[in-house]
Amino acid sequence: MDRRNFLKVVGATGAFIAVNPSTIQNELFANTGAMFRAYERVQLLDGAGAPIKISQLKKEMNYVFNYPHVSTPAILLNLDESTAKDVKLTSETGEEYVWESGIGKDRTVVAYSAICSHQLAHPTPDDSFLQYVQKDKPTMAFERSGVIVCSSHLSSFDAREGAKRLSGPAIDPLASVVIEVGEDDTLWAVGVLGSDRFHDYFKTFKPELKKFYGGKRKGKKLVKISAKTVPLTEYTKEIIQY
Amino acid sequence: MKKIITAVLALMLSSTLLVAAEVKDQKMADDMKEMMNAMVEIQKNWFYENPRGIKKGVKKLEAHMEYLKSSDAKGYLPKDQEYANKFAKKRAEMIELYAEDLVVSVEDGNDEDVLDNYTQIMNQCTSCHMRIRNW
Repeated sequence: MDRRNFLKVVGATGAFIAVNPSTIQNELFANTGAMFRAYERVQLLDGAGAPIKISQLKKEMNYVFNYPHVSTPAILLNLDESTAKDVKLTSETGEEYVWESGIGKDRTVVAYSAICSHQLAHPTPDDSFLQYVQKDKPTMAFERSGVIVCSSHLSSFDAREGAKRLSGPAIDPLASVVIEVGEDDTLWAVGVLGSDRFHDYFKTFKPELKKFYGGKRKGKKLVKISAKTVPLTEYTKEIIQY
Repeated sequence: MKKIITAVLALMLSSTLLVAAEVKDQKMADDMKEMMNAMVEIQKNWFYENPRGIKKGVKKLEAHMEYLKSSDAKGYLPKDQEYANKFAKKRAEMIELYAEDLVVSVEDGNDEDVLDNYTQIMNQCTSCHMRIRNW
């Protein structure tokens, strides 16, 4: 390969990665200081295998999909009001990062890791202690509803502002799942922003992973191509919400 | 006369209920004490590298879980924590899950996993006790 061709290949590769950061399976530190980890770009499909369209999402309904690992649950929400923009968040260890906003026409669609940043409570096929509480339902965790609540220890998180912590013993915000909307209205997950706690999750819930996913190694596998996305009521047998 | 009979019956019923509640409390207290002994036994035998002793400790722990699993936690949670009965129930289920895995880890000779499971059982115990005692 001559020098000119070599430079062309390097330039083209750089441009491709700049446009699609999720092609790098690694940690990226953006100009803002934001910590972002890209994973495989995965399409969100409904229970029947059809693509989920952003316009079909019901307002304030908890949808769950597992991402980026086959056993790590995430919540998808279409809020009933626009999300804030460029929210500065700080992790427990003092790292600052910026959560840009929700997506969609009105910036109402968001996705977060459904693993509580406090003691890792999360939805399982048996029960769910962590979910968004609709505005017309009461919660003991915070002065108003319309927030994500972990009913294990009553921590709450602001779904409109990058899941920053509002109340309770949790300190870190929930990690965000970075989602994109395609030209055809379809939804794609591309990475995770913030402290994800996956390492602790796999260590802590080894027997649970064995029960539901056939083992820790199987539960740690990365989701490829598509992620089944269902309402929380279908994902779990019992919703525990205070 | 009717009034006296009614009063005596009411007294008998309430004292029976009281005794039943006391018996239940005593049963739970006994189970908790045995569970604590089982945890000490597991830890001691881990230090002595005695797999058989660890498994015996786990069996003891599991044998005294029945009441915790079947009872309504509202009965023993403080009034302001009664809402957390499902949290308490979940802790009991998790203890059982970790105990089962602990035995598997012993059989696999995986000391690190044995200790991890033991620590997780302790975590489940303390997270519920913190609520009960309002720590």
